[in-house]
Amino acid sequence: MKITKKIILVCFLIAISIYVSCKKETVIIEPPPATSVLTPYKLYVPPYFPVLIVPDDNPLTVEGIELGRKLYYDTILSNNGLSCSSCHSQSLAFSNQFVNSQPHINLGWSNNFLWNGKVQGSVEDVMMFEVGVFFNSDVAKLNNHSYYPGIFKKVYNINTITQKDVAYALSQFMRRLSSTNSKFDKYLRYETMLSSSEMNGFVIFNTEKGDCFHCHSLGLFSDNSFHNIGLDSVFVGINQGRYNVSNNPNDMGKFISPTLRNVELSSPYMHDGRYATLEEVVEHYNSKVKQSSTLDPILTKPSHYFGLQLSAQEKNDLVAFLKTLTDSTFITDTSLNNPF
Amino acid sequence: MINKRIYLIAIFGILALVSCKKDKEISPEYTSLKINFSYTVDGHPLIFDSIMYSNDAGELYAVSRLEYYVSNITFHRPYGDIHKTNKIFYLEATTPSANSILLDSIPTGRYSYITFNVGLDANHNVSYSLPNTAENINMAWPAMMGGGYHFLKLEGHYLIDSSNFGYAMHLGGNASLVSCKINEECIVNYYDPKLGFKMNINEWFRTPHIYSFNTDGNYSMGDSLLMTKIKSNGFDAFSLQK
Repeated sequence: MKITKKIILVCFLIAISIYVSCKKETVIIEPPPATSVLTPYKLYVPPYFPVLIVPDDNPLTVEGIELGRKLYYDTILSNNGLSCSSCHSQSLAFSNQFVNSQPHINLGWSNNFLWNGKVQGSVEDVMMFEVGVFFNSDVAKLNNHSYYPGIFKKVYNINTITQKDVAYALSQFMRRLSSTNSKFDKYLRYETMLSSSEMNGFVIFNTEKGDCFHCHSLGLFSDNSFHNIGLDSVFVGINQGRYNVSNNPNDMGKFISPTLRNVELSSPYMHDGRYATLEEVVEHYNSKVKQSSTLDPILTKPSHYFGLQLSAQEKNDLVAFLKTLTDSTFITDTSLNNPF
Repeated sequence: MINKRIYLIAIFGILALVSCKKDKEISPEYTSLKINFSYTVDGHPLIFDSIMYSNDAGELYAVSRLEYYVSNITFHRPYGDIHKTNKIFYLEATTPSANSILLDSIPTGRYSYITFNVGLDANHNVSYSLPNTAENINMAWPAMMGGGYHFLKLEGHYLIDSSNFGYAMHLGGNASLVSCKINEECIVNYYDPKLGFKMNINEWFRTPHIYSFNTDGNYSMGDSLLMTKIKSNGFDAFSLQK
């Protein structure tokens, strides 16, 4: 009997030890440090846009966007008196006529940035480039400021502001710079009609007739990819485009497809601003495409033409359509303007 | 008596051990099957942007872009049984990570041949029916040309008398759905569940129509005759990677 009790005890101990050894390890999760309550911001994304990817460590909040907005307009970021807004004016859809800066429109959906794709990744990555390399921001100025330490503490629960924190806050504002309310958007939402000329232009844009849609996909009006559109046949300096980053000869003369949203406002055009008007841009595709070994294949038209061969009316219609991409709400939205 | 108790302890211990073992999620009769896609030109590995390949029309050409959808992959048993899958996959040939797909719960064993579509069937070839990824948005086929998606974008350059021209073989529209057949026996092995599908680019330009960029056409979109030729040629563009 005594032996039986021992055996039962041994069995019990074995079972317990095996059970314990099999049990999943318990992970103790420390509760996050107490932070102030932030207000989530839900960005409107049209059904014809790609899904917006927001990193888990930088969710959109009302407070974060407002902080990013202040930084965007504040010369404190630079060491030469400039701010982001110096080269990106809201009235010009956050572009600039003099330095031909790319407009800040819908960059939240991009993963290739700058004309030659010098920066790739997320908005946070390109903002890190702007803060760390382009501006070389002196964060001591921010840390010693009367306003910024408190708001950074509130938004990111940090005691010392770093360049990364500045880039993150700017990224929130960059995602907020979404243009989704042009006449064309209203047309897609059945809120308005396009004129006959605009509609003809849309058909040209969105069929093989103009063949614009392959690189300027409907929605964002960019495929976020690189193309040689025949601006040159010999490539020197910045005209080498993507090649200057990749050193791949197959990238010679390729540049990212810019969004065409608000294109009416973002002159001059092309990476070097060589065209002043939309009419000149359309004429380029119509008759001035230059042949080279990296010319985008879709620019060789049937029967080996290198131009669209549009009539004068068709060219006018195409320009009329492009102007339907102007978003007056975007350029007048007071929640995006200079807060100072 | 003591011996019996020792046996009892041993059995108890073994049972306890076995009871802790993780349940198998799938029986050996079924497996998740990985399919890797690779690209060749008549046995030579495809190197993008290199004008070094020759089609049956005698034209030297290069490939710079290759994007397509694969859907309705179906496995055919020797005696007529079939196993259909219903996933749709986007493949982009220049990116290694975009050339591998995973099929769930494929019955293991021997198959006589495999069929699938390059493109989307009519039920799915509707604008915005796929998730709004950047890739799917960029593959959109314009609504005013029928809507849905590009089934295939095969682009590159070719030479005529040393002059460089582009070609763009784009397929879209329900009539251009490509029915492919890999007419080779294969085994789906539970212990090594993977297959390789190899696309021979030249097969798009070979049978039944010897396709010439120069004389047939270098730009297929909007040209139903050219798209029909490419679609027909695509039937045997794939084989098994041994």
